[in-house]
Amino acid sequence: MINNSVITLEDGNTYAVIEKIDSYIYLSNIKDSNDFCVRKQVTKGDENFLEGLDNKEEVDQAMKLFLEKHPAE
Amino acid sequence: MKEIDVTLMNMANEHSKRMTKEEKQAIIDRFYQKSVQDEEHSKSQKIAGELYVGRTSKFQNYVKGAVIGLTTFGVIAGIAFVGNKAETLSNYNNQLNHEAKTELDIDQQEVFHQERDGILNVVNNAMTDLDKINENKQSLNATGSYDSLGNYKNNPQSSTRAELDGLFPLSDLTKDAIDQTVNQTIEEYKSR
Repeated sequence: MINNSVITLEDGNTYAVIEKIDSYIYLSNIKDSNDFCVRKQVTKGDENFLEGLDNKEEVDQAMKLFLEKHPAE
Repeated sequence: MKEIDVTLMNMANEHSKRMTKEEKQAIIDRFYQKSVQDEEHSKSQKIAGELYVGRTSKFQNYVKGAVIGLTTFGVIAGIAFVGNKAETLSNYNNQLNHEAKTELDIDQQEVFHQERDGILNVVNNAMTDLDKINENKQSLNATGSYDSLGNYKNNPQSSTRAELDGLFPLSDLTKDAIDQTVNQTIEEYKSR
């Protein structure tokens, strides 16, 4: 059975999906609590791909969405 | 702008007391590096179906902790983002004031100070100046000389962000855009 809550990235580490907002996927390394990244899910035809964001500005935009949903204490 | 820099630094430090400045910067750098499309760090990969946040209780507990972790990190990264803007303006203003002293004549300097001194002028000019710097960043970036983090491509002498001093180090692209904007602004005052 495919577990689509975790994914192995190109660095060989396994990341858990901790949030989804629009097409953005927020990932956390299950073995390193300081290792995060954001990717986006893109559909091409019938297939889904996980891709890096276009630039730093898009990463900042994705983080703004995350912080709006999870305001800091 | 120095006061803003100090305030931002204090806020960032407040949220990461247990981390050194270098550790914090390394985490931010790694986050951006892994998140931006790049052949080495973020290749497109095919996935089977939709990804979703797990619903089992064990997984939910992990996710809750990770969300708090990313929220805290987001505040630090968010501050770094705002901090870079403050650092950009601070850097720009320092260079501009220096160039105004050395490049403008007495009459041009008087006009310069009338239009740029005072808190209201500083705030109004800051927005316009940032727009100009960002426009220059876009045109410089279109030359293809910079990587996704804004540092020079194929230049072994170029410093990485982690190697630079300061909590909010500026990329080569931002520094070049600042230089270009300072020159343009000084030329405008020379034509008065």
